[in-house]
Parts: sequence; C-alpha cells; structure tokens
Amino acid sequence: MPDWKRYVREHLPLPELDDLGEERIIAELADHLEQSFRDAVSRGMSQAEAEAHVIGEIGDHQAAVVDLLGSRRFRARSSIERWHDNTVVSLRRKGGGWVLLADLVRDLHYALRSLRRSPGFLIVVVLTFALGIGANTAIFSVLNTVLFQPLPYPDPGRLVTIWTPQIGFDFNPMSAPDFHDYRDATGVFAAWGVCAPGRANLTHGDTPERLVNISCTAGLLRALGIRPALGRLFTEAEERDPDNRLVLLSDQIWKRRFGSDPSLVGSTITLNRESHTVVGILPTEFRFPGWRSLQTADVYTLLSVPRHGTSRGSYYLFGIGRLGEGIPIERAHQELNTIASSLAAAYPESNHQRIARVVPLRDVVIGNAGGLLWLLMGAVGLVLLIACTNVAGMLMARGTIRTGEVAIRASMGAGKSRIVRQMLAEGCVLSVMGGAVGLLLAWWGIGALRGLIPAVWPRVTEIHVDGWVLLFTLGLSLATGIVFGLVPAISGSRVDLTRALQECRRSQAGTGSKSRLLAGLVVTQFALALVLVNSAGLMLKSLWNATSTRELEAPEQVLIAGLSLEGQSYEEAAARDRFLDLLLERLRALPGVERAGASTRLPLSWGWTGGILVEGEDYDPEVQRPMIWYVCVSGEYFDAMGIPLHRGRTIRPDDADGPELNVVVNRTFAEHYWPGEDPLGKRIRANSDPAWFQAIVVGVVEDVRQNGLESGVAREVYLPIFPSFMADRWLVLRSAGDLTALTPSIRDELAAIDPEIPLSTVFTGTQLYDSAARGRRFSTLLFGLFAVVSLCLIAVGTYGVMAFDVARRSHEIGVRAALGARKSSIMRLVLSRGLGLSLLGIAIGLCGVIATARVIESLLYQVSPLNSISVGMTVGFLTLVGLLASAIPALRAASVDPVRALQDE
Amino acid sequence: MFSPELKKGSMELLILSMLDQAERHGYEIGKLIETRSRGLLEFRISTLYSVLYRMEDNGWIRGRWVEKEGQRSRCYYRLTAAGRKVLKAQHENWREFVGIINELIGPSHA
Repeated sequence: MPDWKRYVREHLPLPELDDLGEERIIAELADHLEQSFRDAVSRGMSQAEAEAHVIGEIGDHQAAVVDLLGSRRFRARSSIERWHDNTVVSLRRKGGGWVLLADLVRDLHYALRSLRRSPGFLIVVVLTFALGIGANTAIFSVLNTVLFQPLPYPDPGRLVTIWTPQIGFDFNPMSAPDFHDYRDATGVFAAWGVCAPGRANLTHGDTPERLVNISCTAGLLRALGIRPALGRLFTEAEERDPDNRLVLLSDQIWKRRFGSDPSLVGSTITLNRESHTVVGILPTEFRFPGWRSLQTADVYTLLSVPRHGTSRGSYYLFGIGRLGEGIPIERAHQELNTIASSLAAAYPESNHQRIARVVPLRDVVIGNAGGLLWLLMGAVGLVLLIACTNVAGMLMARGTIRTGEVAIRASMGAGKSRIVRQMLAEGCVLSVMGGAVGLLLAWWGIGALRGLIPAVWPRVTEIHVDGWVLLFTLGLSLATGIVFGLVPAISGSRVDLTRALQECRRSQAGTGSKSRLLAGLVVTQFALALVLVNSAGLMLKSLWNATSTRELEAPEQVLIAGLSLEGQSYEEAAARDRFLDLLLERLRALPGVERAGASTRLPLSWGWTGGILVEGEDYDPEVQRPMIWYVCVSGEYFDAMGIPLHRGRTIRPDDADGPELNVVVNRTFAEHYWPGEDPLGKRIRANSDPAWFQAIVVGVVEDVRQNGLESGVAREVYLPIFPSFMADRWLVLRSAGDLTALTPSIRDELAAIDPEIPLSTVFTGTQLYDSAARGRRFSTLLFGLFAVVSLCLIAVGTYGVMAFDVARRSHEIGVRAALGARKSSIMRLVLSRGLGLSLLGIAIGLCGVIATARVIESLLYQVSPLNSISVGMTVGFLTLVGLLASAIPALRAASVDPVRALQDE
Repeated sequence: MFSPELKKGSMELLILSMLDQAERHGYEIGKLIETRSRGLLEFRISTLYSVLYRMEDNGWIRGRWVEKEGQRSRCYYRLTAAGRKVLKAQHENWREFVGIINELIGPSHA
C-alpha cells in the first residue's frame, strides 16, 4: 500500500499553514485516502487501479490546496516561516545527516513559535535564566581574567620567586649579601635578580610628584622577558657601578608627565633630587609582578646591590628568576637550599635556620584570590541551580497545561522522541535566550564588579568578556537548557492519550507524579537557598565582626598623608628629623588642627618587624625570637591617630636623647612579657649583637590591629627614632573641622619648607578602615546579592507551583467547599502544603549547611560556619518566604466558587 | 448529477445531519452522504475537509482524536450545542425553502 502521508506531504503542499495545522491536515487526509484505497481494493480493484482511483478522487491538486487553505482555522505563515520550510525541505532532500539537521531546525523553529504564543511565560523564564547565567558569566569573567589567563610574560611557567625565610615561615625577602652569595653559587636560573619597591619624588615642571618606584637589578627585568617600547633595559655592567643613576619609565608616566616625548630616552630627569638618565620606555601593557597583584609602577630605577656594607640580617630584596630551560622547580629549590645550608654554617648569627624557598611567580601574584573566587563561583552556581529548578518547574507546569496539544501531536503519529526533542528544543531556546540577556547583564555587572573588587587583585582593570567567556556562557546556557529541559520534556511526553483526549480539564491538569516532581523542585530550591542565604548571613556577621570594632578614637577626624624624604639633602637621619619637626610645628599651627604627628607605619598595614630581648634574655643567634612590629613615631602621633593610652605616657621629643630610648609598647606586648607586673620602667633591647637600640618602657597604649582588619593583635613597640633606611613618613593630623579643606594647607606648608617634596594620597582615618574592609565588603556584597536573587527566585518558584497546584485541585477544593468546608480550612490546606514543602527543603538544606561548613569556613571571621543564630534566622526567614509565597494561592483557593468549579468539571 | 453550487450550498446541513445521531470521522461522513444519496452526492476530499474545518472553527462541531482497537487514531467529529442549534435552524430553513420552491414550481408542472 502506498504511503499516503508521504503522498499528501509531497503533492498537497500547505506552506501557508502553521506546523500543527499542517500535521493535522496531513494526518486526516492520509487516513481518508487510505480508507478509500482499502475500500477500492476490497471492491476488487488491483492495487494500481485502487491507487489511481484514490488519486482521482482528490481531483485537481492545486484546487484542493486552495480549498484547504481557504478554511480559516489555520494561521497564515510569515515569510520567515516560509524560508524555514524551504530550508528544511532542501536539507531533507540531501538525505543522511542533513535530515537530522533539518529536524533540529524544525524543532527550534517550532519551539520559537510555540514560545511566541506565551510571551508572559517567555519573559519570566528568560529573565530567570538571565539572572542565573548572567551572574555566573560575570563571576566567570573575573575568574577567567584573574586566575585562568597566564601571567603576561613570555613562557610564564618558568618564572619563580625566591625567598629566604626561617624554618617554619613562608615568605621572607633576601638580604643584599645573601643575594650575592646565592647568585655566585647557583646555575639553575636563565636569569634572575632582585627588586625593592618604594617611592620616588619626581621633580618636573611646577608640581613635584610622589611616584611608585621599583628599584630593580638588570637580571630581574631580563628574567621577566620584557622588551622596552623605546630604548633599552639595564645591563649587568651598569648594575655593578653604584653611582649609576638610570631609570626606565612606564608608558603611563611617559605620556602623562612627559607628553610621549621620544627624545626623553637618553636625557635626564630628576628623581629624589638626583639626575637620572632615562634609558628606555616600557610597553603600555607591562605590569610588574607584585605581592598578590600585577601593578603599574611609574618608574623603574636601576638597583645596585651592595656586596658589602649592608647587614646580612636586613631583608628587603624580593627575588624573581626565570628557571633555565628544562630545569624543574624542585631542582632549583634543592640547589638553593644547599647554598642556604652553607650560608647558615658561615653566618650563624643571621642565617641560622634560614632556608631558601622557590615559589612559582603565579602563586605569589594570585595568592588567595583564587580560593575566594572559586567559592564565589560555587555560590553563583547555586543561584543558577535555583534558577534552573525554577525554570524546570515552570516548563513542567506549562507541559502539563499543554497535555492536550502534546496528545494531539502524539495521536497524529509524532513519536515520543520527536515530542521530547521538541520540548527539549524549547528548553534550549529559552536557556540560550536567557544566556544572551544574561550576557548583557554580566557585561553591565562586570563594570560594577571592577569598582568593587579589591584593587590589589591582579588584573582587575582587565576583566572583560572575551571569547572564553562567550563560550562559557553558550556552553552553560545549552547545558542548563538540556539538563533542566529534559525532565519536563520526558515528563511532558508521557501523555495518557485516551484520558488527555477526553478534553476534560482534570485530565489536562496533569498526573500525580508530575505534581510530586514539581513539589520536589520546590524542596530542592529551598535546600539550595538555605545554604546560600546562611552563607550570606555568616559573611555579613564576619563583616560586622571585622568592621564593628574601631580601636582608633573618632577616626573620621583623622587626616593622613604620606611623603618621602629622599635625596642627598635627607641622607642624614638628623636632617629628616629636623624637616619633620619643622613641618609638624607648622601643621599644628594651622587653624582647626588639634594634634599632629608622624609615623613609619599606619594601623591595619604591613610594616617592619624585628626581634626583641627583654630583661633576662640574652642574644643567641641559634634561638629563634618571635617577630615584633616596630613603629617609629614622633610628635603627637598617638593623640592625632586616636590610639588610647593605657598606662604611663606617650612619646616626647626628648625620648631619643639619652643612651637608652624611651619607648611605648602595646597592651599585648606588656601582658605577654610582664603579666601581672608593672611594665613601666622595664628594659628591652634589639635582638642583635650589638643591640642597635636599648630602651626603657615609659608607656603602654591600647592594641591596634597591624595587618588588616582580621589579623589578631601582635606585640608592638613604638620607637622615638626613625632608622636611616626608612625615608617614608605618614603625617597624621586630628581636626574636628573639615578635613578636605586641610589638604591644600598641608601642601602649602610642605612647599614652604621644601617645594620639591610632594605629598602622596591624602585620606581620612575612616577611609583607612574602609579600604581595609574592601575585600570583605566585596565578598559579602556578592554573597548577599546572590542570596537576595535566590530568595526572589524561590519566592516566585514556590508561588508558581502552589498556584498551579491550586488550579489543578480546583475541583477537589470545589467539592470540599460544596461539602461545607470553611474558607479558613481551605486556606490552611494550601498553606500547609506550601509550608510542608519549604520545611522539607529547609531540613535538607541544613544537611547542606553542615556539609559545606568546612568550605565556607575559610571566608569567615570570628563566626562559626554552624552559627546557630545565623542558621536560625535563615530558617525563620525562608519559612516566612515559603508562607508568603503560598499565601496568594491560598487566598485564591479560599475564594473558589464551588458551583463554578464543579460546572467546569 | 447536481451542480457543484447546489451541492456546496447544502453541504453544511448534510454534515450536521450526519453528526446528529453519532460522532463520525471525515471519511465516514463522506461515505454516508454518498451511500444515502445513492451515489448522487459526492464531495471532493478537499471540499469536505475545508468545510469540516470551517464548521469546527465556527464552533458547530468539535473533532477529537481517538485511537480504537486495531485502528490508527482518527479524528472523530461530533455536534456541539451551537451546532445543534444551527442544524435545527438550517433544517427548518431548508424545509421552508423546499416547500416554497415546490409551491412555486408545482402547479406549472402539474
């Protein structure tokens, strides 16, 4: 028997009709022709005669098509749809794999058209996907730039850093004599060198400027493999002459201060009052590898490391090297430690227990940003999961509503796989559209992220959407579309034809198993959201813990400004002290200034450490002493900064005059060394032979955190002297007036004493706290944002499922109402179901909180990952969300009219 | 044979009548009309189905796909309440029309 379906498809083309209309006509006409054919055969015709007879019955095929298209029931097709039809037909004609492609085009086309019919559904689903995928894309783009991109140097895998810590420590810079000894003895590096980051005062034009300067040896720049944009790099021969004053300029400073003048190369500029010859300009994209950052220094001066004359115990050089071809890092580590052992034997007073560590440069540059980023990626992944379960729920609910449509398609001969494919295509179309909108969101979000990310993170300014990000978004969109479209697709394709075709509303509304699946999705959402919201709560608590304590008194009244006393006129410590005393005196005289002081280090910041001996302890190079923070202060530093005095007194100008210095220690120091004793009058000295200072404790001040907001407080000594190697000073002023108005006055006073000394960034005590909290604010804000998004999603999702549930059970509710059930009991029925699902989700989520405790712990500060208050509040809040989301459907259920509900049946 | 215009004009009424007692599929409707008219009324397949679709679109009949034992699934049409009213109206209309025509043409040919 001929294939009549095929015959109709080929001879009665109906391109003007939509898919469903065409399928239906084809199925019906083919069935008609087949019956006619059978009748003809049963009347005694041969197969050929019967076929001819049946075709004759159709008559003029052209006229038949016109007739059928004349029925108004079916919508006319657009030109795009006709183009699609032609494409599908021509692909099918090619046969083989092209048929699959034709099917795909057809499925996608059908999905698009079907979605166009429900714009509300389309918008909600696309926005839900967009939120999930957009957030993932934004975080991935950060991850992609910060973590995945190789460092911007040739063959970056061979770049390493060299450290010389004591056993038990990780990172400690090198001393100058050690550097020479290591360099003379090792052969594992193709090139290596050291640098000392600092500041330099540029005098050019009217305004002096304090620049970021990296003093480095020729070998270091060679190791990085950079090529200058103009001129050349330093040479090893130049490095050997300590009188050489050479400088390389960054592209930025060359453009900004020197108008991109190419003739600058070979000429001189004034840095720290000394003439330096510019040997080259570095390329625009060059970044210097720093601690946890890739920085843009302004200038790079040649560093000539003295072999003699500096202490072996003075660690200030950061080593960077390029491993020789084929040399593994382990070998470098081994060889450098052999040298470290011989140095320890030769110089026990400085090198006892001192080892060498070779660490990949990437680990130093990226640091712990990786851990946080992966955790953020995990959190944002949870948001996507919640978004996807939401969408899956919506797709399933829609699939249930469309049972009738699916049944018609199935009855017309569409196989189960075809139906699954079509529904899957619908899921993918939705997720890809969501991905596209998400990409726009991410694009916008990345701009916002750049402003929020801690500035010290490497490559923050370079974060952008590139090919990898696009690929990630596309892959993520398709994967979510397929995975989360599959469940609703399979569930939607399981149509009970007979029941569905009875066109009864109850059978259209779906089966119990679907309802259970939908309920499962709500439970999953609550479980995921609990983990996320609890994490956000813990992060918020950590932020509170880190920022709620401000040990400085009224930091909003503190103004801080930096300066660098560099150059020949300030080589002597006495000259610096004179300058500083004079400046502080003038600043104190400014209207509104209450106190003025200076220091070498600010609270919450890194600084200089060293060993201390108290009475009863003797110097022994073999005994490892704990490191004590040194801060050099002058003037009214404590009062200006707002560090409260605990006992005794603060520093006075004459405290450095005697053979013994008068020093101030922090409370932790006093309580550690002299618990229960009076610390005033106690003697301490430097852990060196001879001791470079001896002192009497004259005061104890309250503790101030040294290294960021989240470090514990360490022992600290405030010295009344400034060592010769420290040129940088922080000016600290206290004023109850307008702090910003003070800045020009400070500049004027500074210029009046020395017009060539520039002032660096000026900021307030509050800003000091704010900048220290920036990293934690960033992660807290993101976790909070993800939690809010997920809360909105679960609220919408739960509402949707409950509303659907009420619609599905309207008959049952109608019967209950007809039998006299009160409105309150009907409401309770719906609310208890909603609440039951959310509580089940919350219970599962609690297991998730326990399971992820260890992961989140690394991000927390002074709060346990299983903090009962946070967990309790999250549970309460989510329960409320579950209740509120079920409230509207419950009200709707209570208002169901029993007569109408039963009539509909 | 009757003229196509005459046939088309009566087609809706014929289909509605065929569905008055039972639900039927398209082929069955066509066959029934053909048999009961002793082969004098025959409709092209495209005409039959375009009229069926239009009637369904008007809400007079409703088609549903049913799978019966040993058969592929077929679309069975049945009258809706609206269709029943239309059938009744068209039936009366037809009777009046035929009566008047008979009256008008009867005497001259008697």
